[in-house]
This record gives sequence, C-alpha cells and structure tokens, in this order.
Amino acid sequence: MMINPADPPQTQVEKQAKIIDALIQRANRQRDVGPSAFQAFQNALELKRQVVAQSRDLEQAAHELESAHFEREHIRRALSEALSSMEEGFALFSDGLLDLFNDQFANVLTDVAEVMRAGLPLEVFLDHLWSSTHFVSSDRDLASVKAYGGQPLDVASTLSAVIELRDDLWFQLNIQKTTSANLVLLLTEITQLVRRNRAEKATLIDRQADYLQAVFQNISAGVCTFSADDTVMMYNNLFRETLGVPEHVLATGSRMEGVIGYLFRCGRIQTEQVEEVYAWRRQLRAKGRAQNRVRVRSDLVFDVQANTLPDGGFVVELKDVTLEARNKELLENRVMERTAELTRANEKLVREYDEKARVEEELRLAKERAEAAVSSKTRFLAAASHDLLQPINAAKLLISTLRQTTSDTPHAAMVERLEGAFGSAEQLLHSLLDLSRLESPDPDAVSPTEVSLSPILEGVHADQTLVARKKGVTLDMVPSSAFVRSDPIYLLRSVQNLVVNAIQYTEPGGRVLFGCRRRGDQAILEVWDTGVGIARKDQQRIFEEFARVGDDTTPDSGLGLGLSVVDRACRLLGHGLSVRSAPRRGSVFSIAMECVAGTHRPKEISDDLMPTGSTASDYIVLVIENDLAVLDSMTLWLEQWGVAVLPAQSIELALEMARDIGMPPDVILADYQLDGPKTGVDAIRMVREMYDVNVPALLITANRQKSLWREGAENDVSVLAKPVKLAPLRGLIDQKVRRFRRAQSDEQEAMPTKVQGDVAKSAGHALQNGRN
Amino acid sequence: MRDEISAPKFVGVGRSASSDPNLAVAEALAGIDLHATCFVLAFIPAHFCAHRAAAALQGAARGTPVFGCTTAGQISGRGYETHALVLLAFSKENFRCASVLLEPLRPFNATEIAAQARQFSKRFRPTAGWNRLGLILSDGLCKQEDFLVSTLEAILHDLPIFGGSAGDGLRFDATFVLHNGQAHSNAAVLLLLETRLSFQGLGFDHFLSKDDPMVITKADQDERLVYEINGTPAAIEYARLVGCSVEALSPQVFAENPLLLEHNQRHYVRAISDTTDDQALAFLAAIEEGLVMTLGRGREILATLAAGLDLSAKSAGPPDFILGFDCVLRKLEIEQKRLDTAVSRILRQNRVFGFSTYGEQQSGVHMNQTFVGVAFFEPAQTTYFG
Repeated sequence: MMINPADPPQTQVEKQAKIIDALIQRANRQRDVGPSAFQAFQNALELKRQVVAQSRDLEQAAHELESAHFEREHIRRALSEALSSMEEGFALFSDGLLDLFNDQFANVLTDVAEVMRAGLPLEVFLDHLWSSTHFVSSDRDLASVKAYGGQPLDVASTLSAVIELRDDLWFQLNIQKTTSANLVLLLTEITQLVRRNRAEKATLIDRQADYLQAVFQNISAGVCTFSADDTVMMYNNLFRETLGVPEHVLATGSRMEGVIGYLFRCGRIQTEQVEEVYAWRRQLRAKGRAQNRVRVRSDLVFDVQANTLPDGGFVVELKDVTLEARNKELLENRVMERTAELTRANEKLVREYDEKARVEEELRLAKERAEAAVSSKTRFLAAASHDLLQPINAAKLLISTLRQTTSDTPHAAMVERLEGAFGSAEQLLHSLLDLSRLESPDPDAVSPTEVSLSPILEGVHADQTLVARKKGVTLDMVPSSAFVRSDPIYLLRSVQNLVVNAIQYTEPGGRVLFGCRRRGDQAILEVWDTGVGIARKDQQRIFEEFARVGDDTTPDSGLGLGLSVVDRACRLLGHGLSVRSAPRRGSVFSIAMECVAGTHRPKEISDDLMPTGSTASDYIVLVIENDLAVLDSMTLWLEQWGVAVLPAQSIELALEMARDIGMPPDVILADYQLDGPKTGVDAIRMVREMYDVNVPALLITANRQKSLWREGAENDVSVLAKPVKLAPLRGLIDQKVRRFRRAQSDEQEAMPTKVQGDVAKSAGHALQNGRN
Repeated sequence: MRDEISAPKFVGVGRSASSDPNLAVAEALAGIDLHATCFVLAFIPAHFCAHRAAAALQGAARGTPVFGCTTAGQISGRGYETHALVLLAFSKENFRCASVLLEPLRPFNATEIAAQARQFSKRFRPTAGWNRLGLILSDGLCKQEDFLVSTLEAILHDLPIFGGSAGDGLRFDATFVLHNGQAHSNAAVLLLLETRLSFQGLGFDHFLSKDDPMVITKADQDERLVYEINGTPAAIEYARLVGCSVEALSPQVFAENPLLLEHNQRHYVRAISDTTDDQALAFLAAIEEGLVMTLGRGREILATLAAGLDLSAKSAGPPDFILGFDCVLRKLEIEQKRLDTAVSRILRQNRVFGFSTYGEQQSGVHMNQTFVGVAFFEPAQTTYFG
C-alpha cells in the first residue's frame, strides 16, 4: 500500500498531496535540459536501447556481407563465361584501369591486342586504338573520347563513336559509365550495316528525286523553287505556262531578277509591280512566308504564295484565279443590287406605313368631328323642339278660347283646321324630341324593364278611339295580359304611333285592329289596318324620316316621323319590327318582344283604365313637386295619359303657370313637403284663392301623421300616402274632376257668370308644357 | 575442486592474501611474466592503505602499467575473497591498452570530461581485425558515476564500456583508483582496450518487481539521499513496506530489499547503503523526487547467477575468462544466506575474476546490486591458426 492505512485520515491526505506534488514536479522536469544525475542515467538508458537495435542491424549486415562475397565470386565467374560468349567486344575499366575484357574485344585490332592486359589505363588503350595501323577514321576525335572518361558519373549518357578500319570494316564503340569508378566499352561490328545503308541510301536518293519530279509536275498549281541566292532550282510546266515564259528563261540556275526582267520587258508586269516583287521577297525573308494577289494586264489574276525552305531557298506557288476572281466580283455586284432593291422596298414600306398612320389619324379626327357634330345636332334638335313646344302650347290655348268664341260663326271650320294644324305640329315636335333622345349617344336613352302590355294597349285604345271615330274608322283592340321586357315609355309611344299611323292611312269605313299574340317565348304585338297599303319597294323606306307612302300629300296626314321613332326604339330595345302589306288591301306592323313572367296582376290597372266616357285629355293638371326626378316622371306619366300638365317645382312657379294660362287648372297634384316653409296645402290654397275656385286637389306625402289627414279634410284636399300607385291615382283624378265639374255645372245654372270653368273644360286636348 | 578447472589461457592471475602490501604484491606478481604483459589490473583489499599498495605495485611492476582500485571484496580463482590482493595480467600478444585519468569527478564538468575522452579516443587508432572495448574504474563514494558513464557513452557511443565503482569494504569511507602508480580519489580511470579475442558483455540481477509502487516525495539528488517516501520519512516508510522496525534496518536488510526502477519494461536496481540520523536513506545510485519505484523481491540467487553466467546459448563455446564487477550488496546477501561457498564455486567454474563493487556500469548506465561482466573468448580458429 502506498499509503499506510494505519495513518489517521488527515495524515493520509497530506501524504497524498506530497506524492502528487512530487510526481507533478518530476513530470515538469522531464522537459528540462539541465543536467542531473538521474537525467544522465535516463539518457543512458535510451542510448542503450538504440545501441541494442544498431547491434542487431550490424550483425545482420555482417551476415549479408559474407553471403555477398560468395555471390560476387560466383557472379564474376559467370560474367567471364558470359563475356566470352558475347558477339561484341567487351571491356570493363575500373578506376581507369582495364579490369575485364573478352577475346572479341582484344582481337579486333591485332596490333592493339598485344598490349591488352589487366591494369592497362584507359587513356593508353585509347591512344593505341587511335594510332593503330588498322585505324582509318572516326566520327569523334580522340580528345573528346578521353574527356568523356574524366567526366563525372552520368548514367543516362553514353558516348558512341563509329570507327572505320582498313578494308572497309566498321565498328561502333560505345562507352558508358556504370558507376563513378566503372567504365564499360562495347565494340560492335557494324560493317554489314554500314555497307547496306550506303547502298540503300544511294537508291533512295535516286528514287526520291524521281518521285519529287513527278509530284512537282502533277501539282495543280504552278510551282517553282529557288535557292537561297534566288536562282531557279526546279519548276513544273504549269508554272512556266501560267507565267508564259519560254523554257530558257526558267532554266535551272537562272536568277530571279532575270525572270522578273523578262516579264517586265514583255509588258506582263509594270514598273511598280517589279518593286512590289522585291518588297515581297524581303517580307518572305523576314516572316518565312508571303502571299499576294497579282493582277496582270488587267484581265488575269494570280494568287502568288511563297514559303521559305529549310536550306534558305524558297518555293513559289502560282495559281490562276482569274475565273474565281471574276465570279466573286459578279456575286458581289449581285449582292449589292439586291441590297439596294431591298433598301428601296423598305423605304417604300416605311413611307406607306407613315401614310397609313396619317390617314388613320385623319379618320380618327373626322370621326371625332362627326361624333361631335351628331351630338351637337341632337342637342340642338332637343333644344329646338323643346323651345318650339312653348309657343305652340300657348297658341293651342288661345285657339281653344277662340274656338269657343267662334263656335257658331262661319270661322268655326277654319279654327278647327287651325287647331288640327297646331296639333300636328306638336305631335311632330314630340316625335322629333323622341328621335333626338333615341339618337343621342347616351347608352341610357332606353331602360328596358318588365312591362305589362295590358295598360299600354288599353291606354292607346282609349286615346285613339275618338280620333278614329272622327275619321269614320273602326278601332278595335284585343286585350292582352302578357308581360314583356321593354321600355314602358317608348313601347307606349311605338304602339301609339303605329295605331295613329294606321288610322291615318285608312279610309273612312275601314278598320284598324291591334293586339298581342304569343309565339313561343315571344309576344308579337300587331297592328292591322285595311288602309292604302304599302308597295313592296316602299316597305323599307317608310321607316325613314319624313317618308310618305304613295303620292299621298294630304297636309294633316304628313307625319313622317312616327315610324322612324318606332324603328329606332325597336332597334335600341332589341325588338323585331316587321311589316307585311299589300297596296289597297292593308298593312300589318308587328313588334316581336321577349316575354317575361309578370309580377303585377293586370286586373289592378285594367279596371281604372277602362274608358269612362270622358276622355282624360280634357284635363289640365298642375303638378307641384320640389323633387325634379319625381316631377319629371309624374309629368311624363300624366302626359301619356293624355292630360295637359303644368309641372312646377315651386309654389311661385305654380302660381305663375296658373296665372299664365288664365284659368284655374282642373286638378292640383301637390307634394306636401316643398322647399321653404310653405307646404303643398299652402300652395293648393293659394291657387284656389287666385281664381277663387275650389279646385280639386290631391296631396301626396310621405308623412303619415293623423294631423296631416285632418288638415287635408279641413281644406278639402285628398291625402295620398307615398309611394303613389299610378293607376289608382288616375282613377282618383278622374273621379274628382268629374265630381267637381258636376258641382260646377249645378252651380253654373245658379250662377251663369262663371264661364271660366267651361273654358277650362273644353281646353285643347293636348296642352303640353315644356320641361327643362 | 580447483583442479577440475583449467586456468584461463589469455589472462594471467596473481593472488596474495598477505596483509603486507609489499609482500602481497611480490607474491601476487610471482606467477606473472611482466615482459609479455601489456598491463595489470589490481584489485586492492579494503584493509590495505591504497597509497602504499599503489607505491608497492608501481615499484614491483617495473614499468608495466598497473591500473586498479580499492574494493569491497575480491573475486579470485577461488571465488569470493575479502582480504586478498588480486592481479590480472593482460598479455601483449592479445591486448593493447591506453588509459586516461578523469578527474575531478566532483564537481562534475561534463564538457571537460567529454573533451578529455574525445581526445583520448582519437589518439588511440584502431587496429584492423581487433575488437575494442572500454573499462571504467571510478571512485565509489563521489556519487558521480551516473554523469560519468552517460557522458562517456555519449562521446564514445560505439565503444562498449563496462566497469565498477571502487569499494571500501563495508565502511563506505574512502575509495581510490590506481593510475600511473598513484591512488586517486574523486577520479576515474578509463582504459581503452583492443583485443584479438572476441568478447561479450553480460549483466544481470536477481530481483523481481513487487507490484506496490512508491513515490519519492523528498530527496537530495546530489547526495543520493531520500528524505521522504510516500510523504513519510523515508526510513520509516521503507521499514513499513519491508515489514520490519526502523531499528532493525541494516545493510543486510538493504541488500535483500533494494528498490527497483522500471524503464522500458526493464528494471534497474537502486541499492540503499545506509540510514541517516534524520530517517533518510542513502542510495548508491541516482534518484530524484517524484520517482516511482517498487520494492525488489529477491529471486533464487544461485540459479540466477548460474543462468546469467551461462553464455552457451549465445556463443560457440564457453568463455576463456570473465572479468566481473559484482555488487558488494549481493555478496552481503549471499553471505547472509550462507550461500557464499556455493556462489564461489559457480564463479570458479565460470572463471570469473574481479571485485565486489559499490556500483556497476554498463552501456552508460550506473546500477546497484547487479553483476556486470565481460566474457572473453578464444578468437576464431582461422585467425588463430592463420
């Protein structure tokens, strides 16, 4: 135990610490180099280990040496035997002294053989060899061979000398250093080889000359070789022919200057070309190669190429490339022509393109101008029609008054004609207004929606019954409950125009029938008449503005715009418009529309639309509504019904209009809520006070307060809640007006001074007012 | 018994047990032909005054060089001896010799010693076909053998050197080496031998390493003194490990229980010579702090001796004689075990001549409690009869 277990633990720990400390310090000391006795001891141990290893190696080496000695003797013997059997002469010089040689080596030269013995210095041997009576020549001198013997060892190098002896005998002497001390001489007889080579070389030279000559003559170019001093050596016929010189000029040994001089004298080449030749010769010397294209007498072209030859001479190659050069020129010309053509074509295209772009720009500008023109025309037309309607309206009112005063006079017929003329003018203006709207570029000119045909058919029938009766034409309508997809305003206008048109072109006693029939998912609205009919050639023309059928020139029937409106409206709405007709038998106009499933019960309206004996066109309706959109639609709707409308956006305007027409309106439609503090009720009261007539009035309001209803009752005003359904409204107006008129006529009997109401009652059927 | 053993052919041996140096020298030289002798090696018993013995030898040798040293016992043709003067005469026919006195050993100047040795070996040009070896005899108490032999080994590295440290009986008082008729202390004699004989070195001890390691925790390297082992006063720890009381420690105990140092799978013996008053242990070879050592366990000493001297496996025949350097502690243990008669017989049979040392040197290493020797063989027959 390293630590005495009997020690108390504290002591054990202390001892352990000492042990560790000693071990660590020693480990650190191992790196020190300083001398210490123990270090010395340790170093000695290490040395000892190495010596043991070396001794072992030494022993082995000694053993190997012994066996090597034996082997050496054996090899030497074998070597001697081998040397004797060699064909070549062999001699080994060690440290410059002859050591070993075979008989073959000694016997080559009989006079040298006498001195051959071991220990002969190499230099002495070589002296003997070179001064032997047999020695004729060698390709190396004695000094260089001797010098090789003194050089340091270079295993790769071998000195070789060919030695000629008497009687045309040849030997090759090879000297090689095998180690720094050993030199081996090999003497090989090469007589046979030399003689054979000599013979072969002679024939080979002859053959090569022939071969070269043949090759020369058969080369497809003219070839001529010159020596280093510029004399002709060899040439082929092609060269001479190409150059066009006689044979004596190119005879072998002729100088190049002579040849050039001949060519110059013949006029083959010019002075400057002679100089060129010399410059070219200089270039050849400098670069070893020269190339040139020469034009001779302007019609021949040569390629001249020259290369230097190893002996300083040079070979010239001459090629006639006249044809080649000419072809190339031709080709170049053609390419240039084509290029020019293409350039021209390209320029033309560019010009055309520019022109096209310019035209397009012009077209675009023209189109813009045209569009602007159409647009301004449409606006002008709309404005003109609108402004014209104002005086016509005024005239009609006056005529209406005039007719009352002249009813029993001879002027009555004339006044009636006058009224008719103004009616036509008004209708014409309306059509113009429609046309201008339909032609405007506004995409919302028409707004297709779900339309019930029933009120339209009935409305038209009701409106035109009187007109037809007046003319003595029977007007019949087949009711329909179909719903179609169309614009309600323009569809109504279209049907109206067709029916009016039919009545107009039908003789008294004739008949007009219109209605609708289903065909698949389409509703076909047709208007039949037994009128004058339209010739086939006119059937397309009738839809043009101001077209007339046949030679009819009756002034009151000359409304050429009605069918145009129908045509435009149908085209915009996508309805199919067609006409079938035979002259003097009648026509059928039809409009094909898309059927839709209806959502309204047609019954609701049809009752109210039933003819009531009195035509609504008698009425003058004052509409007071501050909301312009509501005012417009209300006005339009009322106009379609046939009443004259005074649309007013404010109370002031309403009073002005009421004053202008000089009589109270038949009915007042007023919105309760107006701009400013005054209400619809106030407006109604003020109009009534103006004429001191209790004009029937309807108040439309969104206000559902009971007080409002009471206020209405107190002021004799019917109150309707928004939204107002148009069909009941029409009924209500009709009813109110009629009741009022009955009351008035009763009153009139009591108070005959009141004539104003009668004037109003008989006012023109189409009093219309302009709108902004 | 002695008659069974023939005398060596190639070395002359003289012996005298006379207590008078002059008489002893005369007696010992009686059988030696000084004319044919190249040099003499003298092993001087401890009870002789070294200087007187040197003078006597110088006077009697008549110019023949005498080298040698004082001893702690001798090995003569009879085996172990304690009071005999033993002389070995090396013939001129078979030996050539050169010598140099290396001094001082303490303080040790390695550069100086190396220079001397180098110059010396250059002067002595080798003779073709002869074998060379070195013999070193050094002062056994100056404690510089480690430096000395490792320096020589480094300088003369292709020269095998063998040797022993001079002794002083069991007194450990003063030791001397002989050179040029003078006894020198604090010095060593280096002999460079050339011989026609072939030779072989040998060295062995009789210890095995015990497993338990111990660490020297405090020591004085220069004085080879170990103060502490395993952190405990050295003598106390040593006694504990050996298994005896501190009071019982004696040269015999040290001889039987040396410490071993392991190196390269070999062990080297570090012998203890004494204890000091402050419980330190004095060693006979280099030690240092931090060294890990083990306790040596003695093997059968007779068998190991016989086996160590038997060179038949390594050479063609038995050696003509063996020059032996045998540690005094071995002799002490042998005597303790009363094996000295048997050992002497083995030494005689192997023709061992030499002395009991205070240390042995071989291959540049200084050791204790070993046997180091050089066996000389008759040269190869071809050469001999050539």
